[in-house]
Amino acid sequence: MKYLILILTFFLTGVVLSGCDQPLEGPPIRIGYMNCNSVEETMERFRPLTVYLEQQLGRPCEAIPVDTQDLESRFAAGEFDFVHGNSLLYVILKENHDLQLVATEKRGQFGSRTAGAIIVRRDSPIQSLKDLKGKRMIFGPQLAPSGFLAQYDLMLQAGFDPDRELDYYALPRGTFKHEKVIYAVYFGDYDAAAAPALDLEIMTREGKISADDFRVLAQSETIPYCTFGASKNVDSKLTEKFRKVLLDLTPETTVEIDGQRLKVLDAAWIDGFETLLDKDYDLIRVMAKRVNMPPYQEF
Amino acid sequence: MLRDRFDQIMMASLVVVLLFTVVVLVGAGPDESNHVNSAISRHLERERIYQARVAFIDRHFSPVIALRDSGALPEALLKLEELHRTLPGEAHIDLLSGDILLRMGQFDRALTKLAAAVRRNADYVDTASPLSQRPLIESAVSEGLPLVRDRLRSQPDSRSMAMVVKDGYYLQSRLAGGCE
Repeated sequence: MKYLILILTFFLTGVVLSGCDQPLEGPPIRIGYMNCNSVEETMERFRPLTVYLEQQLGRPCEAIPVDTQDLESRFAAGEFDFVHGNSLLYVILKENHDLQLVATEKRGQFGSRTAGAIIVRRDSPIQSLKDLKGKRMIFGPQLAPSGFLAQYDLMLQAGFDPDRELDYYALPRGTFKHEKVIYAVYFGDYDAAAAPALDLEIMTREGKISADDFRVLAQSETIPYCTFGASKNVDSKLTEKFRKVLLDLTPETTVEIDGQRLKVLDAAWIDGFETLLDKDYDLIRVMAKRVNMPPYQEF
Repeated sequence: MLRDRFDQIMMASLVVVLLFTVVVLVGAGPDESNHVNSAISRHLERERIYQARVAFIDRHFSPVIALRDSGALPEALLKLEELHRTLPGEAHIDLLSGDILLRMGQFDRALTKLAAAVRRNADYVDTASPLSQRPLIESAVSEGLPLVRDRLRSQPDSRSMAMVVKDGYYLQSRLAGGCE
C-alpha cells in the first residue's frame, strides 16, 4: 500500500508539473534578424517566433535586429548563433564564415523561392531591355537578391550594361525600399524599376497596385528566398532541434505574448519553412560572380 | 364504442386521413414517365450549370488567359492575385496558377496548385465535362512527378517535397478514375 501511495504521488506530481511552462535553462540563443524595413517592424514580426522558439527549445532566446550591411561583420564577431537573412547573405556567410543552412522561408506563389522583375508602366513606350538605353532606372537595395542582383544580372545576360547604358540609376533610401521602387515607376519618377516578384504579388493582393499598372519587361529564374542559418560553433543537435521547430510550424501555431495569443507565422509574414540544399543556392553564386558582387567581388 | 358525437367525428376524421394516405401512397408509385422527365430535367439543369460556369470563367478569366497565351506569364500571375481579392477560394484561380507555374518550370508549385483545383472541382479531370483540363493535368503529372520524386529521393527528410509528391499521386489517381 505504501508503494502504491508513493507511485501515485510521483505520478500526480509529474502530471501537475507537465502543465507548467518548461523552465528556460542555459545561456541565451542569440538570433540575428535582418531588418527589412525598420528595427520596430523586425521586432514586431519576429518576437512571436522568438518566444515560440524559446518555449520549444527550453532555452532563452534573444532577438537581435541587424542592418543588412552590418550583418556579416557582426556575425564574424560572434554576435549571433542563428541568423535570418536574404539568400545572398546566406551565400556570403556560407562562403566566408561556413554558415550552416537551417531552413528556407516560404512566402507567395513561388514558395521557398522568389524572382526579380524589371517593370515599366503599362503605358511606357519601353518594350524591351534594349529600349532602356538612356533611361532612368531605380533598383532595390544593393544586397537584395531579387531587388538588385537578379535584375542587374538579367540585363548583363541580355547584353545590356546598366553602368554604361542607363542614363542614370538610383537606390532608394530609408524604409520600404521595394515598395518605393514600384511607386517610383508608378508615379513616373523613373522609367523602369527592379522590383521583387514577391513584392509585386503582395502589393497586388493588398490592392496597393493593380496588375494592369505595369508591364514586366523581364523576370529572372527563381532563386531561394529568406533563409535561417546557424553558426558553425552551434552544437549540431541544437541546430537540428531549431530546424525541427521551424519545419513543424503550421499556420495554426500560436504563442501568448503580453496576454495576447498570436499566430507565429502570420506575425512573421511567413507561409512556412522548407529544407533546401546548399546547391539550390548555386544560381545566386553564379549571379553574384557575373555581377561582381560579394562574396566574389574583385576590384 | 362511439359513445357521443365527438367520438363519431374523430372516427370519421381518422377514416378520411387513412383513405387520403392510401391514395397518396398509390399515386407516388413508380411511374416511367415521371422518371424520364426528372432525368431530362436533371440533365438540363446540369447543362445550365455548365453553361453558367463557362460564361463565368470567360467573364472573369479571359484577361488572364490572354496574358498567358501572349507569354506574359508574370503579369498573368499578378492578374490572378488581383482576382483572388474578389473571388477567394475560386478553383479556377488555382487551376490557372498551376498552368502558368507549369509553363514557368515551377513543377512542384504547379502540382500543388493543380491538386488544390481538382480537390475543389472534380470537373477538371472529368473527360465528359466541358470544364475538363485533363491534358494540362496529365502533362503536369508526367513532367513534374518524376522530378519531384527524384528531389524527394535526394532529400528524404523534406516534408514539403513529400507533400508535393502526395499531390502528384493524388492527381495521378484522379486521372485514372479514382475517387476523392
